[in-house]
Amino acid sequence: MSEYGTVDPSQHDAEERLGNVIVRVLYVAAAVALVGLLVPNGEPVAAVAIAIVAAVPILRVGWLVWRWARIGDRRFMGAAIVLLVLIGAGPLLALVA
Amino acid sequence: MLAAFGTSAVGTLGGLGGAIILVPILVSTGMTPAEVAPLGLLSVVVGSTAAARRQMRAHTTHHRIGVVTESASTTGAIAGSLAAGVISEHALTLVLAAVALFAAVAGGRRKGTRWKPDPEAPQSVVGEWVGSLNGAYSLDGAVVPYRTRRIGAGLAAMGVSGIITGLSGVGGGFIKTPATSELMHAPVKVASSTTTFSIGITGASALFVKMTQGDLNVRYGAAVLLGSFVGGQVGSLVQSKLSPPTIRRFLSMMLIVIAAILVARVL
Repeated sequence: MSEYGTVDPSQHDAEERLGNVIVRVLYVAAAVALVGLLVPNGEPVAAVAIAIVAAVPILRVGWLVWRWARIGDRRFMGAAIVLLVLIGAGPLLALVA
Repeated sequence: MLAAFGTSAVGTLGGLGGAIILVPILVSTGMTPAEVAPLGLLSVVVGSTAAARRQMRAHTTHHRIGVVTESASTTGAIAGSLAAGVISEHALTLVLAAVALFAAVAGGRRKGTRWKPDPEAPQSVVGEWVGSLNGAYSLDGAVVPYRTRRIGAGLAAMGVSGIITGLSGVGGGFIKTPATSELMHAPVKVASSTTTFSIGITGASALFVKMTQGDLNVRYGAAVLLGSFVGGQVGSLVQSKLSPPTIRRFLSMMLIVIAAILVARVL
C-alpha cells in the first residue's frame, strides 16, 4: 500500500479552469466598480460589483460540493454542504436578531 | 484605495487577510468602526478571491482543510455574534493582542521547515489527497508530502477564532494561519493559502449581512474593491516566490505589529 494518498486526477485542470473563471469575474467586478465610482449616482452600479465579488467564495464552496460528489468523496461533500447551511444560517440569524 | 492595496498585499502574503491592518488605519482617519467594518470584510473577500488563481496553480490551497476548519469558524462566529456585548471591547482587544503575540512567538521560535522534500514521492501526489486532510506540495521542484495532526485542537482554535470574529468583527486569519501551521502541522504555505480561501468565505457571508442591513457605503466599497483587487494579486505573487521560513518570520513580525496596534487602540 502506498504511503501517499491519491490526488483526484482532474483536480489540477479543474482548479486551473476555476481560477481562470474567478479572475475573469474579478476583472468584470473591478471594471463595474470603476464605472460605479466614475459616474454620478453610481452607487447601484458599485453595489452590483460588490455583490459579484461577495458571491465568489460561496459559489466556490458550491463548486467543491459538485466536484467531491463527482469523485465520490462523500465525507467532504457532506462537510461542504454543512458549511453552506451554516453560511446561510448566519445571515438569517443576524437578520432575525 | 491605496490603504486597501497595501493591506491586502501584506495580508495575502501572510494569509492574514488585510482587514486587521486596514480597519485600524481607516479608524485613525476619523471613520467610525461601524462604517469601517464592512469595508474590512470586503477587503478580505477581494484579497482572498484575487489570490485564488495563483494559489490554486501552486496547489497549496487544501480545500478540504479549508471547508472543515471553516465550519468550526462559522459556528464560532454565529455564537460570537449572538453573544456580542457580553465581553467589553477593552477586554476583547487585549485578548486579541495576547493571541496575536502568542501566535507570533509560536511561529517565530521554530527553525527550518517541518516537512522535508521526499525524493521518492512522485509529482502525481502533489495536491490535496482525496478523502483526507493530508497532501503534498511542490517546493523548488521537489515534492513535499505532509500529514496534518491534532485536528481536534485545530478545530477548537478555529472555533475560538470564529467566536472572536463574531464578537469583534475582525477577520480571524491571524489565528487561523498559525493554528493550521503550528497546531495542525500543515506547511506554512499550505496554511497561508488555505486560510486565504477560508477567510474569504467568512468575509462574504458577513458582508451579505452588512449589505442587507445597509451598513456598507458602496462608493467607499468600490474604492476598497479596486485597491484590494490589485493588492491581493501582488501579495500572492510575492508569496509564491518566498521560502517557508521567510513567510513564517514575516508572519511573526506582522503579528507583533498587529498586537501593538491592538494594544495602542485601548490605551
